[in-house]
This record gives sequence, C-alpha cells and structure tokens, in this order.
Amino acid sequence: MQNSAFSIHFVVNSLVTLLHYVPITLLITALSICLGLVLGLFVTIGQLVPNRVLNGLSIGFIALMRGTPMLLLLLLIYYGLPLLLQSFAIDISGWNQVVFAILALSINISAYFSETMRSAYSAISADQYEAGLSVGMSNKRIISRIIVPQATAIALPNIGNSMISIIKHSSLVYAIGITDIYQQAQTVASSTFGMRQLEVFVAVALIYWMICILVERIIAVIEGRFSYLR
Amino acid sequence: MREGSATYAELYADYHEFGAIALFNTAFFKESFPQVLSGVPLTLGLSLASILAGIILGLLIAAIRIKNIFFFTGVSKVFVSFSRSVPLIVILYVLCYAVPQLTSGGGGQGQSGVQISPNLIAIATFGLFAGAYLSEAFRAAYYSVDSGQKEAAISVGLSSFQTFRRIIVPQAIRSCLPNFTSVFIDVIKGTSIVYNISIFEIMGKANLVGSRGYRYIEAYSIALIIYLVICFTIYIIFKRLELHLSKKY
Repeated sequence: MQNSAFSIHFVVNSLVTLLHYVPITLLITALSICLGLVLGLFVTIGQLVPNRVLNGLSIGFIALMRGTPMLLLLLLIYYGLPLLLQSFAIDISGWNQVVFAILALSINISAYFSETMRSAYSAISADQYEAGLSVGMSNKRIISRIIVPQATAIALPNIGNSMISIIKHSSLVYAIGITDIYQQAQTVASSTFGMRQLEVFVAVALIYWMICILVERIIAVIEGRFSYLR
Repeated sequence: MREGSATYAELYADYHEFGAIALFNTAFFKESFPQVLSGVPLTLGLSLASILAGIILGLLIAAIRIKNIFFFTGVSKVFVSFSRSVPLIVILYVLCYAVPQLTSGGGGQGQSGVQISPNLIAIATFGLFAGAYLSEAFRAAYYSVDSGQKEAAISVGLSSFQTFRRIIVPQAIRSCLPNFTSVFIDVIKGTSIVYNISIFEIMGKANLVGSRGYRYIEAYSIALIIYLVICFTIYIIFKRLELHLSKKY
C-alpha cells in the first residue's frame, strides 16, 4: 500500500476528510447566487429602461466584469474595499472574509445573470404583452403571469451554467484565507510529505464533479417543470 | 525601491505615511507598471497555446460526438462533464502532481519522478478546459446549419467532403464565433491562477511587485487594467471578424 504509485484507499480517506468542508463552499455559492440574481435583475432593468445613463452604466459594468479575472476581483475587493470605505469613515475591516467572498462572487456572477435575463426577456415577442392587454390584464399582472414564467423557462439553461461556474470560482476563496474544500486539500496534501498529493486533488476533483452533477440534475428537473411553456 | 531587510513594521509604517488617507500610491503605481506589464507575453503565449490545444481537442470531441462512435462517445461525454465541473485550480494541481507521482513508483515523489515544465502543465490544464467548452460550441455550430443546406449541396453534385468544406464549415464558423470568443477570454482570465505553480505571468508579477512594501492594491490595479485592455482588444478583434464574415451572406 505504501509503495504503490496511486492509492485508492488514500483517495477515499481524503474524500471523507474533505467532505466536512463542502458546507462552506455550498454556503458561499448559494448566498452568492441569491445576491447575484438580485443584483443581476437590477443590472437588467438598468439595461432595459429608456435612460441613456443607466444603460451606459449597466453595459459598462457588464463589460468590466467580463474582462476581470475572478481572482483579481476577489483580491481587489478584499484589500481595496475596506481602504476605500475607510476614506468615507466607514470601517468594514473587521468583517469576515466570507462576506467579501460572497460580495466578489455575486458581483461577478450578476453580470452573467443579467446578460441571460436580458436575452430571455427580449426573446419573448411583444405579441405576448399585447395579448395580455387585450384580455384586460394589468401591467403588473402581465409581467408576473406572462413574461416572467416564459423568460424563466428560456433563461434556465444559462442560469444553470452560471451556477456551475460560480461553484468553480468559489475554489479561489483560498486567496483571501478562507478554508474551503480546496484550501483544506492543500493542508492535507502537505501533510503527506509529498507522497500522496495526487490522491488528495483527485478527491477534490471528484467532490466538485459530484456537486456540479447534482446541480445540473436539479436544474434539469426545474427545466422539466417549465417545459410546458416552451 | 527598498532593498535588503526592512522589517514588516517599517514597511507598514511607510504605507501609512500619509495618514489614514494613504489609499493609493500613484508613484508606486507608475513605477511598477512596466514590471507587471512584462508578464503580458507569458500570459498571451500560454493563452494562445492553450486555445490552439483546445481547438484541436474540441474538434476531435465534436467529431466523435457528431459521428457517434461507439465507446468514444461515452468517454467524450464523461470528459466534457468532468472538465466543465472541476475548478481550473484543481485540474492544475492534479496534472501538476500526476506525472511526477505516477512515474516515481511510489517512493517519495518529487526527486525520483519525471518532472515536466510548469508551462506545459498550464497549457494542458487550459487546453482541457477550452477543449471541453469548445467541443460543445463546435457541436452546436454544426447542428445550427440547416439540413436543407446539405441537401441542396448534394443535389447540385457536391461530394460529402466538398459539402462539409464549402457549405457547412463557413456557416458553422460564423455561428460559433461568439462562443469561441468567450472561451478565449475565459482562458486568458483563467491563466491568472498559474502563479500557484510558479509561473510569473501578469498575476504572478503583480504578486511579486505587491509583496514589496505591502502595496497589493496598486499592484492588482495595474494587473486589472492590463487584463481589461487585453480582453477588450480580443473582444473587438473577434467582433470585427464576426461582422466581416456575416457580410458575405
């Protein structure tokens, strides 16, 4: 066992140890997705309203996010935001790193969410709106009963892809000192004195793979629920 | 810049020399810009090599899945699912440790195993990532060409290779360009993690520069500007190409 090049036994051992750190990854991603959806909605509205300034701001924000590496955004927010707010006499340096991680991830993902939402919204033909009006529905009702359900059905596959990418990006939070699956894997790997590093990272890969497959399945089930609208 | 062994306290005091408003040291920013900029060739080189590897891998996988070759289709599906689900940094470390450990025969890896260059590991990592995403893009592009086009080509007497070369490829390229651009940009952004295996590209240089005098904000801001310029340039080039190609039809 000690002298084999690859030990399945050690993969299983690492897997069990690392599973304890799945909740922190899930917590960070779940909260980032929720916050990202809200932020994304605002950015989408900013793009759709007939207001040049808001349109420009939203488009600029999306372009900025698409050109910024996630790691860099995370570090800039972690190191830069407290300093920036300090000059406005707001002290956030005592906040937990997890808050910064969620902030950075959700800001990044909101740009991708808003692209998805905007394209889903524009995919619904104007006839749908007119049909709603013709049967006497109010504006609010048309949006909640006609536009949103159809737009959700169209947006779901892309929302799912963005969720997968946020799960993957969450592995970068090691850079600001959060112990998640990946960071713990580094600790476990270094405790093997260079003997069993490969096994540890294979275990990490398997954990992320399982999480992503699970998320894909859940999205597929929800998509199935919405399929009557397509 | 500071040389020799300044204590952390000294450096940190220096950082606050303007009091609480020492937000951003412009002099340091200007001075360090060329140093971070010197990482650009490596970032671009790694990204280009990875995207080329990704195109080859992506074409191969897309061909296997379109032709539906027994066994290989299953392998491709598993591979694509894996590469799309596992974070880049984890793939990077798996590849980094795989070759030395598996060739060492189990006795204390590192010295005895075969060592490969970090650049090669990075290219392999991003090549796998790009290959998985591009294979999906290529496949979707192939299916986006209307089957009537193929029938029309056969009816005027083109061979199946001619049909593929003259009819399908030109139209498929047009529809996969937006996806290709976004994968390319993702690869460039993704390479910011390779400093972990001691490759000093933009992010690596920024970390080096920032660690001197604890001025990370300035260093990371330089890196941010460089990344934005690179990504925008690539986006604009491919947007032009897209417009150019769509004019023909």
